[in-house]
Amino acid sequence: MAATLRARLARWLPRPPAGPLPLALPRRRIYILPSRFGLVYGAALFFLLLGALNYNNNAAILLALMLGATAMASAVSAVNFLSGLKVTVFEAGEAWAGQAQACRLEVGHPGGPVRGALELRHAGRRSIDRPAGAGAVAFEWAWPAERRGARRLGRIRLATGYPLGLFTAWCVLDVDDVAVVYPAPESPAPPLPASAADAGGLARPARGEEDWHALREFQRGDSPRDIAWKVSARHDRLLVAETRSEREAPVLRLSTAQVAGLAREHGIARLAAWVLAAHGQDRPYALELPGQTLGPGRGPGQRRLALTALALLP
Amino acid sequence: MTTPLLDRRQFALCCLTVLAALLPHASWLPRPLLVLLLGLLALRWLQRERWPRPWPWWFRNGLMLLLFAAAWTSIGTISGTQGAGFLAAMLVSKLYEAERARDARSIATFAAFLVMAQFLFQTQLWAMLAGAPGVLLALATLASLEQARRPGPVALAPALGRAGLLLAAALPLALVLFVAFPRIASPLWGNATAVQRGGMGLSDRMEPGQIGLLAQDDRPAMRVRFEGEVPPVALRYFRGLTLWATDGRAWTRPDWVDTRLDDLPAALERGIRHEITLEPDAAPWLPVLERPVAAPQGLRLALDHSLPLSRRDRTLRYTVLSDPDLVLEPFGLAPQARALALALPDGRNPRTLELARSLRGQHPDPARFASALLDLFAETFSYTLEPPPLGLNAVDDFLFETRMGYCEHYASAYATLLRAGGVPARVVLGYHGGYFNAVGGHLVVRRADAHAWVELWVEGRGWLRADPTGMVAPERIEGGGDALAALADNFGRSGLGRWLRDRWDYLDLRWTDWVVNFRSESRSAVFERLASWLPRDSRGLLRLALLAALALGLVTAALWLLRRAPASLPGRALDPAGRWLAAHRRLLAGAGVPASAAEPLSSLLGRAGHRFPELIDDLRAPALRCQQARYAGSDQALPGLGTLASLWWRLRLARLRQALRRTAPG
Repeated sequence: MAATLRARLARWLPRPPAGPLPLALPRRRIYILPSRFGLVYGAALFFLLLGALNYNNNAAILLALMLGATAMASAVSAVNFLSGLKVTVFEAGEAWAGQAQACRLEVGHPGGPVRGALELRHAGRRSIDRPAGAGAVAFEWAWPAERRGARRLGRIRLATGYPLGLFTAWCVLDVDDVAVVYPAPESPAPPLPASAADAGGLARPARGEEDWHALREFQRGDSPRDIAWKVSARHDRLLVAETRSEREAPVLRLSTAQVAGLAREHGIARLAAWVLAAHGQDRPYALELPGQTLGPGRGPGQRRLALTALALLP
Repeated sequence: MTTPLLDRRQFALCCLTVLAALLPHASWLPRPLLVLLLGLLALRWLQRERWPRPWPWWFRNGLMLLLFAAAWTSIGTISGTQGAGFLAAMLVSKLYEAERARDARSIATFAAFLVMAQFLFQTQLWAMLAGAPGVLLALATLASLEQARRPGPVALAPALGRAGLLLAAALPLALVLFVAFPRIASPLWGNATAVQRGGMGLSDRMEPGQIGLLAQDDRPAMRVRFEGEVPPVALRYFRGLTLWATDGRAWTRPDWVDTRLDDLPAALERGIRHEITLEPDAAPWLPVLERPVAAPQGLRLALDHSLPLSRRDRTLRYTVLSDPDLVLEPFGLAPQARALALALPDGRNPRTLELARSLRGQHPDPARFASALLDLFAETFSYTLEPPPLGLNAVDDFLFETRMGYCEHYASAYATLLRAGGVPARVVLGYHGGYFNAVGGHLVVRRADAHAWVELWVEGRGWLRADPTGMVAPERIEGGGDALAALADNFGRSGLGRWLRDRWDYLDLRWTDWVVNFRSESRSAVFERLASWLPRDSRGLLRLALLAALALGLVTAALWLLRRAPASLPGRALDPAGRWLAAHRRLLAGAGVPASAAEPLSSLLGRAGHRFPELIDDLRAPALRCQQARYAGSDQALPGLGTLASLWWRLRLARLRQALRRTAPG
């Protein structure tokens, strides 16, 4: 009953503003209603005014009217406050299907710090603002992820009781920004498929046997073991010694063909597990998907590319 | 849904709200109850500050019952306005269970009731001003609950600022509503006119020692505006009511005097027209300048030409035409009145009666007799505000033993003497004197100006005023209450005090005019006046539209106040560090080191250091800290406003020192 009513109401109400971030809260889409405390306060004011009228005491009447007018002014102030806000950043953490995704949304005010407390409601979850530097506020909440894939953030509702808590003003936004949910890796997963080169290449050569090939700049994701500390000290920056064996480590090729015998989602789950395994062993790998090939490469960048591609597979 | 716990600052705001709403009640709340409430309030604040632990339910409920019992025993009634005491007790006990935001909200709401209750007791301007902090703090409490969360304790300044801004924005709308809001003609419950309490003015009986209390009371009793010139002090007798019956000690007023005077002599439209604004609790009748020719609109003169005030009437502002030369009942006194005006209690004051009879024997002419009696007072009597107590034969004691007293004693003794000598006489209670407030152009009559005198009846001349006090203390009559005040040596009135007092008094009168005495009639009068400014020829519709435009304009002004400053305004969009630096720049500019916004900080500091070598480190360190916080993202604590204030002060001192050095010889 309530759902149908709400659906019918939604048809009558204008559609919430949609688009990618940053997204400002438009004044004409801000709604305001008395809060529960506002109703109690209103009732109290009514009795205050009644008493003042009964005693025909003008000072008390003025007080009651002053408080009432302040409530009205606070409603205007609430709308002004919301309509100045801007949703600037949406960040979604790494998440696997079936888990919750850590989400973070930042809201700022172009004219200065955000003054009032805000409440964010998204997909039935509420979260309250926390400080986020430079006067902005951020919301952090966990968004349950059921299936892999990209999902729009969709409708968010920003509400405030600012400035006096007598009214709740809110605005609904339809945000285009997406969060990617990686496919849940198969667990336990079978070992990595053998690569074209011999399996011996997988083993790391023992320390000392390595054949220095070149120095290169340190990149995030390089193992501290590989840093050439002495050279780095001389050059005052971190350099990584690349060994010939490493450079020539055989590229692991992961492909949908290797999981052709499995059900589609199962296959994707296995590929995801293999990507994680290859990443864990710090091996270069390439992912061959229908219509695209990712890599070869290694490190967090490759991992993200590969997992995202898997997540986005139709 | 549980609301969040109160931060310690938010809780402090709650305590302050209750305190601010409670303090204006200090004037009437029984002292022990007040002390108990204030003590409990302070204790609770200290407790939550030091040991933030909630109290068990049985303690809170027990405390509430205890406080209610205390309020009951000390106030005695819960009905009517005295219920405010219970409200205060409830608020204080509510503090003991206040832990969450919803508690703070209910405290803020009920504090508004407490403030309103205070207005029922006192309607003067100071009472309104005393209520303002309570309202502001209650709103600030609400505002502090809705601020964006920041690390550290909740900041109070934005909450207070927001509350103040909202109040300022609400003022125009509130004023429009105040004028437009309908009033009800008769109260829905209770006796609404009996609410005024506080220091009573004169009552309708006179006992020795009564006015003496008032002589110390410097509050205004009434304010009088004269159409023409203000009459001289000697004529400024504001006649209240006449007292006829005496038991030898007290004087009272028989009911029949209240009978309406129907056949007024056809009076000429001449005399002194004046408008009186009476403080609500100053007198149970309407004092008017001697002698009213006709009653103000809606009222009737009583038989003795006084204006009794019926209990349900709240007329506190009236215009009267008075003629000091009006002759009252010259050709004959009604037998009943004559009998009353001569009646004396049997067996009281025998020595007085004997004295009067012997004097009357010497002066058969009543007027002569009266002046001979007055001469009696001029002899060995003295004027004092602290007379010795009198016994049952009060007049005897006074005339022959103590010989010290003030107007009441003299009036009582004189009237008794006159009656004993066979001359009809009555005592008049009222006010005399007053001082002129040049700011408002009105006469202020204070409670200390309360006075009693005598009217005696002489065949052919009617009732004559006679003031025996004038024989004893002429300065009391010539100087009015001020001389009395000088006598009591209670309040010297210096120039500044007088200046302030005049202005305050004027504001208070305006407040009374515009707010306290505002009624439905004045409401339509306001509309009339507004309408009279508008073009005459137009029909009502245009007028309505213009009025609506006016209201709209006021509301727009409020909205404008509430708007958020655009980001482009300089100084507004800056972060705290930037604001501090801008303030620092302004500070230096004020100290003679002007800076443009484009000048780098280091160069500015260099110039400032050149100018004030002794302050170089104090100028430099906080500014550099700010700059680092702003641009290098260091998380050092920012210098606060206190640093700025101290810099300002030291820059002033340094400049002063430099100036002195320059002027010093050598």
